[in-house]
Amino acid sequence: MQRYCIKACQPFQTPYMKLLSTACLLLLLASCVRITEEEGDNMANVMAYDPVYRAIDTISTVTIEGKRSTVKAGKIYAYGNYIFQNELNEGIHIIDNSNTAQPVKIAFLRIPMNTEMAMKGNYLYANNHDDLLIIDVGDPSKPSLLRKIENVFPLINQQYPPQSGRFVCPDLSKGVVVDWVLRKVPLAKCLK
Amino acid sequence: MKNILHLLLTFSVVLNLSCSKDSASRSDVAGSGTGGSLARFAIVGNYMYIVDYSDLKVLNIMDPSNPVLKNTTPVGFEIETIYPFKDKLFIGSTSVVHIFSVTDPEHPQKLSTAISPEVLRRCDPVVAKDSVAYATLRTNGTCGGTQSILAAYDIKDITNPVQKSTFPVTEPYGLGYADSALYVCDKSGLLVFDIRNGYYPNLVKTLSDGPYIDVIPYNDILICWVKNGLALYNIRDRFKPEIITKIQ
Repeated sequence: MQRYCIKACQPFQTPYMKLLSTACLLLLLASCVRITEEEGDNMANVMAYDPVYRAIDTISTVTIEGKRSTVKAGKIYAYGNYIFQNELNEGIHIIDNSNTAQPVKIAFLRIPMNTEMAMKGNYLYANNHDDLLIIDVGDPSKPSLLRKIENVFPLINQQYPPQSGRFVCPDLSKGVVVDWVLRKVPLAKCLK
Repeated sequence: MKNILHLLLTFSVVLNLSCSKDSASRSDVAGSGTGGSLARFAIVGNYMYIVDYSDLKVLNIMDPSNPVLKNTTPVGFEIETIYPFKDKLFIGSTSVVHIFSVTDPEHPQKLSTAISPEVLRRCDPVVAKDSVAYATLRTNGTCGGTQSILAAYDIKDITNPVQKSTFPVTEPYGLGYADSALYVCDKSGLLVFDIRNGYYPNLVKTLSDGPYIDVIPYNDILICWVKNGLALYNIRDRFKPEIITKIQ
């Protein structure tokens, strides 16, 4: 069934067929990922992935701040003599690597709900929630947000955690899911 | 603080780190940077490609200050990573690797799909070198296979990738290569493979100091995303990474 569905979903490449592809995806979720909601005693007081919510925080300015400790390390990027590391949903650590024997963290670019980045020339591309920000870092002490392209990067991991196992069914009216934390919860009815 | 500002001011200086050596570094003449194998953003020349859960988006960045969304192509589902290689994009999903041509940069064309028969569900960061593509396939609980693997595919005929070999690993994540060394991140540590015999990676060293998540081989530096930040290694000797520092 799983193999069948994976193959069956491949032909749906045209936008016209996207709906069918989505239907196929749902079929896959039902058959392969097996997200189920359970009734019974085994869902109370268990270890489960618990969604961490955050109110949608879209921004109109970006700010550079002093360096800070890495708490939740995210994706990495290299550009010229600099190394960048995302702080999950908080922004980007900037590391000066011009002395390769002694690279040092120098600053933090605060971008709420950021997970991805890329650079070309003096321009940093970074997501803020599902918007793409274009930030001019030509004068890096004064980064300026030039523009944003909205809804270019739909959020992932909203319906279920990336890991398999029991999880608290998300309630998206509480905000967006920015993380899934494994912990003991009073009730976890969903299973992936 | 003044010192920091001074350092920041030099930020705009684009050093042309010409990659005379064969490496996975994605710096190009147009002055873009280099991402890891788990990235969802990729820059190829004047175009930026973005993958979300199901779609590939193309943005024209000929004027880098003003990207313009040009195209959205449905790819599949559970898309996780994008890796540009020459005029191709390798798009990793939890089930398969999709290979697209960007010969026409604004209209990516699907060429093929690489599938490993052993594993039905996994996470698929992928990199390519010459006629070989490497992917880490992480088994995934309920629907996964029994063994996570590093897989090597023959991509000489890009329309028909053929799996040539697999290597068992614990719980793999990102990967990258510099010359003949392939660095594979694993829950058990960093695995260094000799890939002089491309289709048959040979494990030559393991750094067992905790989980590694992704790497960027960047000239003579190996930039590693580890649990609490970064670990930077000197890889002047490709097969013997030497720790420079950890940054938390």
